[in-house]
Amino acid sequence: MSTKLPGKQSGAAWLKETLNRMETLPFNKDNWSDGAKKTDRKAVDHLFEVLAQILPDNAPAPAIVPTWLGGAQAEWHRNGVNLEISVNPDKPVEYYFSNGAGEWEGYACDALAKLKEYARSIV
Amino acid sequence: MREGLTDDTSIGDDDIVLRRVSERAYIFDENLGRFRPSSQAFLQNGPDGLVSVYLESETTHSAVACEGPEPYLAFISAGELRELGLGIVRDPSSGGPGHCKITGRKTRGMLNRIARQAQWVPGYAPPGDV
Repeated sequence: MSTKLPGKQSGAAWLKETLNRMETLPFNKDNWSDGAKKTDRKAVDHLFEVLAQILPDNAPAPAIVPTWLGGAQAEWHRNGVNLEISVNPDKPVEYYFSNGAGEWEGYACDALAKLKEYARSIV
Repeated sequence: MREGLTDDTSIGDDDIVLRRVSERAYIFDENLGRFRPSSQAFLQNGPDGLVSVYLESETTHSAVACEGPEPYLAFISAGELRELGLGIVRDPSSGGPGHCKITGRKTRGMLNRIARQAQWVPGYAPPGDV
């Protein structure tokens, strides 16, 4: 990944495993699912930038799955909550969060403060 | 059911629909304590933006698995999809017997509920899920 991290996160628990998982995405393989596009590295960098902004150092690494349109999704399903952050090429980063009180979804750029709060709940 | 939503009422609520799942599109859900498809497994897989599924009663598991590169099969009932406000229409011309498409606007919340409710077809589950 080419993204540079803020200094305080260079030792974050989630960092190395997240990068490792991102490297397994199908960057050079179309049709990994029927008709799916190969993963766009810029989209993954964009996702990583958002993760670096919102995740506390002690956050667990997310599961990383490719999207059909060539992007990627980071997701956690633990502590009774579901948090997903995804991006497709040339599209804004989207999020979904649910807990026992309800569910919320939208664009990450409009909700960084909320996403930081949501991210604390997965620790 | 949403007004104006395309839905084939000849498909019963108890009918099972099958969805192929890529080896890259399943995750472990700690809340459920099991592997399940990611919500991404139920996003579009065609230029029309619709999701392909198969009616279990009109095909076989092996036939569905042979239709694409995804090795795993998950299932959910038509009724569960309808409870979320979605519909199902037959589309045998593009995917063979039993091929259908899920219709209606899918929010991320809907996709998450589908993914959490989906179960693996025995014999077509990922490693570690028994």
